[in-house]
Amino acid sequence: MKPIQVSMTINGQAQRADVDTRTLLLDFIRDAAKLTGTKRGCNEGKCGACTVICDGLAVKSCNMLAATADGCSVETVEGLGTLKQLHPIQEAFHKHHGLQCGFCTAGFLMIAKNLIDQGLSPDHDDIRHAIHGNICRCTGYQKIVEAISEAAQTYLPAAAE
Amino acid sequence: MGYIGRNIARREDRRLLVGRGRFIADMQFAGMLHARILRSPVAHARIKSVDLSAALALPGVAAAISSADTRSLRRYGSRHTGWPVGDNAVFLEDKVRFVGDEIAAVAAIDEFTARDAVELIEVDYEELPAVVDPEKAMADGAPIVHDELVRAGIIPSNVMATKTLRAGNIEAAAARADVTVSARFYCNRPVCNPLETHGVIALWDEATGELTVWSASQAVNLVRNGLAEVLDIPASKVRVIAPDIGGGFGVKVGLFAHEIIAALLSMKTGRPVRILLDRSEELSSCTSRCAQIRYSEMMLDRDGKILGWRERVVQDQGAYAYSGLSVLQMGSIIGILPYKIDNVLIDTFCVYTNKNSGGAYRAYGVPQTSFARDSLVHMAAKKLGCSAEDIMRRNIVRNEECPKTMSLGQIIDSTGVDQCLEKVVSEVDRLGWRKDPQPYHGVGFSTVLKHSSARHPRMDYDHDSVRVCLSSDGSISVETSACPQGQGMFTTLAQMVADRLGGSLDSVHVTGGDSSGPRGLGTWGARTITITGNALHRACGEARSKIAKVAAHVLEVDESELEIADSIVSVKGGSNRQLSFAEIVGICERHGKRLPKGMEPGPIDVLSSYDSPTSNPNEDGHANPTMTYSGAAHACYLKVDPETGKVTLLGYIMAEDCGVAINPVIVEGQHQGAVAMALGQVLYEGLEYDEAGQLLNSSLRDYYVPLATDIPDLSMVHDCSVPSTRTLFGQRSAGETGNPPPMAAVANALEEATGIRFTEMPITPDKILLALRARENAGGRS
Amino acid sequence: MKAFEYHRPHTVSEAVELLSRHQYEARILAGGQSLLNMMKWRLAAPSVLVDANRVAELSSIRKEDSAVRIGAMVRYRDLPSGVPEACGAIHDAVSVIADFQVRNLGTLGGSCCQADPFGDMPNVVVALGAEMTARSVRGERQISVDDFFLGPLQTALEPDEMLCAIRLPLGSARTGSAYEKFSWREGDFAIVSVAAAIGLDSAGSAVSGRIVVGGLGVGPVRLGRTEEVILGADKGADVIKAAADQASREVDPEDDRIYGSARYKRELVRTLTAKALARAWNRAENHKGSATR
Repeated sequence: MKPIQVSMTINGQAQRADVDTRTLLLDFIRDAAKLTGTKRGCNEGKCGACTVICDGLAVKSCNMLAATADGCSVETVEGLGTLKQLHPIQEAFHKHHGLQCGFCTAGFLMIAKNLIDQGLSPDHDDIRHAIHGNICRCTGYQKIVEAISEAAQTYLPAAAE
Repeated sequence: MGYIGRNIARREDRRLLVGRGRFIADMQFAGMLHARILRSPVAHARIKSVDLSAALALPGVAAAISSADTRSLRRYGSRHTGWPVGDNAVFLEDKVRFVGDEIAAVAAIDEFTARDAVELIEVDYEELPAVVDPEKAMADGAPIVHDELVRAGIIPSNVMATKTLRAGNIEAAAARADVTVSARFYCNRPVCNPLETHGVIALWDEATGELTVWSASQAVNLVRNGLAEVLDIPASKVRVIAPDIGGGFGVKVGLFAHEIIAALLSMKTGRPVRILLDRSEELSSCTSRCAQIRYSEMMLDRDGKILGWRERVVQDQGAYAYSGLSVLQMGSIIGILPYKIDNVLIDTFCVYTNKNSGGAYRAYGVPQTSFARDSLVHMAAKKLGCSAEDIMRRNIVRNEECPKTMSLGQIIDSTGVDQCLEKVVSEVDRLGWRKDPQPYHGVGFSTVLKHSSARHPRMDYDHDSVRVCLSSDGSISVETSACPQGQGMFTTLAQMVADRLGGSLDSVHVTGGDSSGPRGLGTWGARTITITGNALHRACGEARSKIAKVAAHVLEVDESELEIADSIVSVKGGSNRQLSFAEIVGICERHGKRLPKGMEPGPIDVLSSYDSPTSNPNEDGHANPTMTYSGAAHACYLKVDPETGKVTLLGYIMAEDCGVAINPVIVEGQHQGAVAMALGQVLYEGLEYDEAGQLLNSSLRDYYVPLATDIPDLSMVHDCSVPSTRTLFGQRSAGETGNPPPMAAVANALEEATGIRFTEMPITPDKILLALRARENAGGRS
Repeated sequence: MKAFEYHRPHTVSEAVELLSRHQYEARILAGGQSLLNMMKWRLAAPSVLVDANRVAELSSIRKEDSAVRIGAMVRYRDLPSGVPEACGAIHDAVSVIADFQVRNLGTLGGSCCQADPFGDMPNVVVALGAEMTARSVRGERQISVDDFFLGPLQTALEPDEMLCAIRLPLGSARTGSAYEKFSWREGDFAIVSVAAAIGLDSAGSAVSGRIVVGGLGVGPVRLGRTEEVILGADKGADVIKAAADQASREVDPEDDRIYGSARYKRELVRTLTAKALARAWNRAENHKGSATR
């Protein structure tokens, strides 16, 4: 089957590649754009490790074809903070020990950012509900919830944009 | 001293937070091939033929292998069984023994091609009847899983091993007992399910004969030795590296078939070969918690003293041994703690079945026993008309009795478990969880003493090593044999190094996960904090004493007049006479004349190892397999929806003794994670097979890992630590202690909520609601 | 996934042209939350994939006379703002479907065409008495939702047809509907789900009713005899209990080794029917613009 050309903007940078039609958005981000911070945990849309923000909405990038995302603007974990300057949500995860192995972390950061941008409250029950599409096997979720709660209070999307 | 006991933010975090972690799937090599394994769709079959030709003909396929390519390889697994040959090999004996067993493999230019090629492999199966129920597998005439081992006279049947653990006189205890409680308990078969699945990259260099393997492994030296043995190449030419690992929990310990397959394909093609298992393979084909049926009986006198413990344990081992025997024995020996029980008789049977193999899983075999133990305590309390915590108090080992040798040889050096119990009981009362009992609400307790290192019953070694080396700028490199998977071990170990050596924390760089580094068994069995920790204590002690000796000589004072802190050695009493570590290293390496007489010029570079003073089981099963024991007591508060059977966890309290907590917030995170995994096991999880051995849940859509909405607030963690007297920093393990107690705590709370005793995990809404309805129909309480 | 040819039409005409050319070889890709997994697991292997995500005309919700017309590509997340409160079951279902990420992509039309027997939306649209609009190069036709679902993963769509819209009738002034689902964890497929819709006359008696059960593995099942129990009845605990009991007798669940025995599912059908019916009835009574008692 002949490859198709896919273009999109990832973290503000134009990316273009000829890919197999079967290429998932996740594959495009990792293999074509070489951004490996977004992880494949289950490849079946359940664990949320591959969560990215596509045209302003959090999606599971293993459940979207790269071709469908053609022309879209995608944000990944690499677009949040840097080693020297963490994003406030990343800072909160660091402070609250919200990560252990770190494999699920990018997915949690992206769903948290997207929902905080939409006004997620710092209430713990609301946060648990908000992240029920993401699985963490290490932390028991407690410190993730605490980190997001703090971020929901301190991170002001308008100021950060 | 100054870093131990502080909540130092993890040094591992930053790169993981910004997406710069390097896991197996993130690594790229020029010319790398992608391999897929063809796995058995049936539970038990002889493979009559495998035709690779169509797969090999597909453009983009570089190589394919089947049993024809592996017959000359050595078997593995004998280390776990003590047998002359192992029970495992790649494509063993042209037979498959469970759904997911390996049949063949293909390496191709990309994942798509490899998957397409695997579908083109033609296999001719001669299906055999499957044996799924371990008790039926013990019967005469049952289909034999390893007929080749039976033919060779190594095992008589599917019962691969039996062992009796005994102490005191169980018959006398039974005769003396006022109350006896018993039940058949079933411990289910959850899988560790780390978010990162298993993965490996193998790179064979034909010119040098060197094999380099990157693997998501908790035990690089075990994999290295295993690969060398199986492939018959010198261990000195095999290097195994564990990069970042996305969780392990036990399932990444030891040698796995995909590691050998990747090596074989690299040898065949001369190119790097990567295998990433997908989620269904992670569920079906790696190892699971050892499922067990335990017929358990507890005998007590009327005061609630436990007189005896009698069990018959049948372990549903699955297709291959892995570490199942060790799980069964260790779990039985340690799991009956923390109670003092003088008379014990435990008959254990480890039985092959056509299922995913039982292996290491957080807390090893302790949860299986704990579930039975504290369920029976609660049942006994009902009979005696007292509370479960009364019986726990009456029998728990107390710190003032320590050091104490328990009936099966377990040596409790010191413990906070008695305090843990008092703490959770008082917290439950303070919070008023039992004050105004509401219908369908209940509170349950459970306790544990759990190993803090694990001597395998069939291995006569249990060591780790640490190399401490100072560079000329004074920075301190610490190479360890640890292979952490998210525990924050490099932060924790750095705190220990900084305190023990007197170095500044920032100057300490800790590494691990590389078989070319110091030797050791790896990070599993709660052993890194204790065994690596003790090796580190030794190595740093030796380095420190050399530093002190040199400084005393150069500064012309007695060593006792020196103090060492933040990488500076200074003379006590406010004098400004001091030397930095950098200056001392400079003297050692480049100014030998300034050294004390007899001291050899050269770097400060110390390698120390530590082997635990623990024991293998004797003929009665007595052993002290661990350095020390971490203790815990938990309380669970829940409610049951009488219309759906759904359990809602309302509150959870932990009290924990992990000795000296090096980094309390990391320790707390470990406890929380361990509890959440256990709550998954008791309420939701477990592989399920039908009568033909078909796996019914091999995706995260039908294998239920708990979500954030399923786990209650876990912030109530109380520190009841008592320093260990056997470890050199007073430390005990933290990663697994939280895992056993939730099983019985939930079951006990459910009995309080419903009046019904549940003895089979997972305790699902279906089981709960039907039990409630059955009782209503029988005219019981509504 | 098996290899496929990819097309991304911008109009329904282009899309149905492709379907007409490739017939059974082709599949429409909507939100992709089910189909892509089926393809990864090789349970579906279309050789032509027609991506409907750029067909703008399918993404709108329009109020019509006594109906709301929902384009097949409307995402779950956009349903609540566009669908009147009278269709309470839709609102209930959106809040329990999967998770936020899935709701951002998954579509009402995709869920109906997938016809997953454990899915949420098939029951809901049957309860609401929807009319399904299908198009092909041969023209457009309306399919009553009662004729649309043929069984697990099977619909009445011809291979060259594309579902374009779901019309939900808004009915008389006093209607209400509700959706109840039970799963162990939030967002999972239903073990049992019940959608109920009810219409009341001015005196408050039920003049129409639809009770639909999902999760039993056979697709949405209308419980005719349960509906008879409520027809003509006035609201009350007795009638709801009678309907719930009837529902639990009327279904024919199978034992599921993992999630529930047949007996358990019968119990859930009883519980969920009572809950869904009570809420639908309350909503019908409180329906805006309806006469008050």
